[in-house]
Amino acid sequence: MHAKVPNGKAALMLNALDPSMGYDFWRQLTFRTFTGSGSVTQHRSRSNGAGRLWTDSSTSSYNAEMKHLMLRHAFKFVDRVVFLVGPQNHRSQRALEKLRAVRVASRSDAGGRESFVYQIIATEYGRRGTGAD
Amino acid sequence: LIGLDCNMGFISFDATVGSNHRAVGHDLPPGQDLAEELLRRVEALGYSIVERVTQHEGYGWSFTVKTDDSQPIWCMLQLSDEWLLITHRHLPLLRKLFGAPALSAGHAKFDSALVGLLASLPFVSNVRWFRTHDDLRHGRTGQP
Repeated sequence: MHAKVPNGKAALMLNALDPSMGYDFWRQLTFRTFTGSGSVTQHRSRSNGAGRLWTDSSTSSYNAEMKHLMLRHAFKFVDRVVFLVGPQNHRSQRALEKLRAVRVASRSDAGGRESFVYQIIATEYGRRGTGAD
Repeated sequence: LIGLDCNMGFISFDATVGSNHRAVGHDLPPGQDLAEELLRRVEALGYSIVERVTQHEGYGWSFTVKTDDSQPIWCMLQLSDEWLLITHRHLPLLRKLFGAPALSAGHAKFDSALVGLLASLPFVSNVRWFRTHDDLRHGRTGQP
């Protein structure tokens, strides 16, 4: 459920939990950037207060700042943001490392698709600053 | 991460071409021309093409060739801080987990050929090969 917004704009939407996702999330916050480069999705978990953030691999100049804006917003609601990145997507892995995300695990989804799990903790993010290069 | 990259090789390099080859008005990743050039040269080495260059998700370009032992190897080029060419041979999950700690002979030979090919190109420099993701991240080079 995403509202349609003009190109070049960003929108924030609040969605109800989609049971088909199979996660114990009671609320899902969805960001979708209409910059022609992709989307970011964040969830909040009732059980552990963790957030999950999916992002694309765009490396445009405004993308890093967009991610910082989203992170700062996400940390108003959650203590931890988790990124899932394909193991072959070094472009995004490097981008995340520049955001000071730390690789903590790997996982496979129900379809067997593997991902690296990167994490940023709110307190550490605040202590380190944005980490922008 | 056990087994996740047992069937992959990683080749990084610098190149003076490729990074500006974007289609105007489209959000295409860089490297299409470079990937096509590499595939032409790989074909000239005698490897048969299984799949020509296609875009891989939002960040790379891939092609598939068949090695001497008739195994298809999927290759994907992407630009991060430098160019990275990943070679990947599909293996069943159980084989990855329990039976394939090393590259196959055909895969290693193919990676070796790629390293030699890249090193011979005048617009390419600093060619390095890595065995695993962690080796790549920590700059631990190896030889296929």
